[in-house]
Amino acid sequence: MKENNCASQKGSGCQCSHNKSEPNEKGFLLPKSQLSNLFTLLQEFGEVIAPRYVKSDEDASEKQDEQSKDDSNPSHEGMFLRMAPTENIEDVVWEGVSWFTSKKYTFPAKQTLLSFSGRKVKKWNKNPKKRVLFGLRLCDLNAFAINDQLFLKQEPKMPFYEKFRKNLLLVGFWCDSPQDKYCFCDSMDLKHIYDLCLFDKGEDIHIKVGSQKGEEIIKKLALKTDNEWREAPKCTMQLQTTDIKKFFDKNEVWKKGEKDCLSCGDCTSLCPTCLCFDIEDETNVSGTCGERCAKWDSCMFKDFTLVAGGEHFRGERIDRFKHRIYHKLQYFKEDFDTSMCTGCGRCIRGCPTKIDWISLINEQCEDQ
Amino acid sequence: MTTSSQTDFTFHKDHLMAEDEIVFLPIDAVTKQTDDEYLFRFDVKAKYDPGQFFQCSLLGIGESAISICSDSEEYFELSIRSVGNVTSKLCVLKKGDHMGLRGPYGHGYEMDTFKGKNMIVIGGGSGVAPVRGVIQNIYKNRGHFGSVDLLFGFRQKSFMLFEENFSDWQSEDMTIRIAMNEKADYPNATKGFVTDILDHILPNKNTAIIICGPPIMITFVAKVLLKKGFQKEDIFISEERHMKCAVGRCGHCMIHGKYSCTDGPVFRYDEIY
Repeated sequence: MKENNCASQKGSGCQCSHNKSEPNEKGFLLPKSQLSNLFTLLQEFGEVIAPRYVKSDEDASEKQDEQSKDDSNPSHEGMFLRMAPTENIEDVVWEGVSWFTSKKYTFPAKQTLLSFSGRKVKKWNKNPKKRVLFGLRLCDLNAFAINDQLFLKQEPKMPFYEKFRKNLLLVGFWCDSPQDKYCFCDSMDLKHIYDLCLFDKGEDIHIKVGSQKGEEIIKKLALKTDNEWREAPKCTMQLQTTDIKKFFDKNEVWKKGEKDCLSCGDCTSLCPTCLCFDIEDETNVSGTCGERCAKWDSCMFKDFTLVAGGEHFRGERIDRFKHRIYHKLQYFKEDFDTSMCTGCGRCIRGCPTKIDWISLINEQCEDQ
Repeated sequence: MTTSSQTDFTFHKDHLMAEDEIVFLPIDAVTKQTDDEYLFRFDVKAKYDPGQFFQCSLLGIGESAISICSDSEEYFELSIRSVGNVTSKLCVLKKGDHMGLRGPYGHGYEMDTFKGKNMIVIGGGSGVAPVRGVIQNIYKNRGHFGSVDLLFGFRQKSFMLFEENFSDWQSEDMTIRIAMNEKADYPNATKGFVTDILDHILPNKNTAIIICGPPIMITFVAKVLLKKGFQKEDIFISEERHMKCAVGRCGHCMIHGKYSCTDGPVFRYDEIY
């Protein structure tokens, strides 16, 4: 990784400006007719993962199979907008939020740590595919920086995370307006984390370059420079404060959200920065060989804090409900000086009972 | 993978994740302590603080965090209670069998900071194991400490741990009081909980209190001590959780934003309460 590679070197060493009003990143102008050239260059870097409509029964980890293309369904009914391997730029959807995040491209839902046969142990040492994540929003891009803090910026590093992360190129889409009513990214002080970032200028696409890695791609296109800048959009949902320490004991307010919570873990599986995991061994029937795996887990599950002997340290649902919010907004900030929430709104969008925890916090602010 | 036994092997403080540094060590001695608890001894040179823990693993079964219950540079001992998926398989291991280990992890008891102080060490049930390292350290450096009170709580005599060490400890001017809540069938044991044998403990500024045991015991003992006038800053508790990764990532052992595996398991009381 290069020193000035902002997307992968986020944090104190980062050279690029994080000031929203005066960015000094390089900008270029790409005529829309040349968009496919850019796409080809990205495909040369690696497999392109982009937001496209995917049938709910389609395996989104595979290339799009021709059969599943369905032009007779222009409203995309029964389909999800999600990040999936994409071969044609025409399939890329430029509006809307992908339902799932891209966290699995740095930390798969099940990741082998080591494999064993008898007492012979072999640590996982594969080289993951090079990938381009095309069309990430600023919220998802920031999630990579946050996850880097946890897995790479402190010792010991997580070797598999590092390998996945190193092989990614992050290409963002700038949001001119909030993508839906659940977005609240402008409350979250997001930074400019990307290798490249695109926004629409009518005839042309403006491309911002955020890192050395991105510049190497863009210089192959010999583009005109452009210095237009767009402000971050104003979201309809606003989080009034991220300083929630003093509300911890006000359970009467938290209960208003907690009473609808199903402890289903949807919020944590959809969150781009929720990467708590369990470590489990999987073996063959005789138990002689197998793998030790890290698997996504969720702090919303009662058994998350179960210890041998049967004690649950967060056995009450309200403790789990609060724990997630406090981890996102307070605990992580105490350690890393940045909030763990990126304001993508997926935890509310994807919640079966649409628990609006943002309003709960705002309500407590107003009570003050 | 290293399989070293009698040769020197220094564990590194900053070990990598499970995938990297599991070391398989042969068990040098196994002692049955109670019906459920076994003491495993490894004659391997290792640097650790009392209160730190190892991730003990069996391939195909899993890993379990076990506190170190000794204090020596020449060997280390682990007291394991057969209670969960992994520990029940660990407890059937015999002398000479190999146990997978990584660690030591966590922040233990900083014994140097207690020098010159009166010590009150309180352990309940299998919580006596982590504090045994503290007591062994006091035993070796008895001159560095003031008065030493040991208070243990067990269910009854058959559940007692480290009884064989009691006479050594007493010979070095440490007082031992024991509470038994099911049946007080040990000489001089009081029927009741640890909180029932705290009467003689009087607040003293120059005192360090070390508590380890079931969460409910820690809560009540701390409550009584604070009421007596002890300061939160003088109380050190060991908050054990089910650590999975042991390097502060997996989130399982989080207590109000602190990781029990890296910030703890030993906390000063005011750090988390």
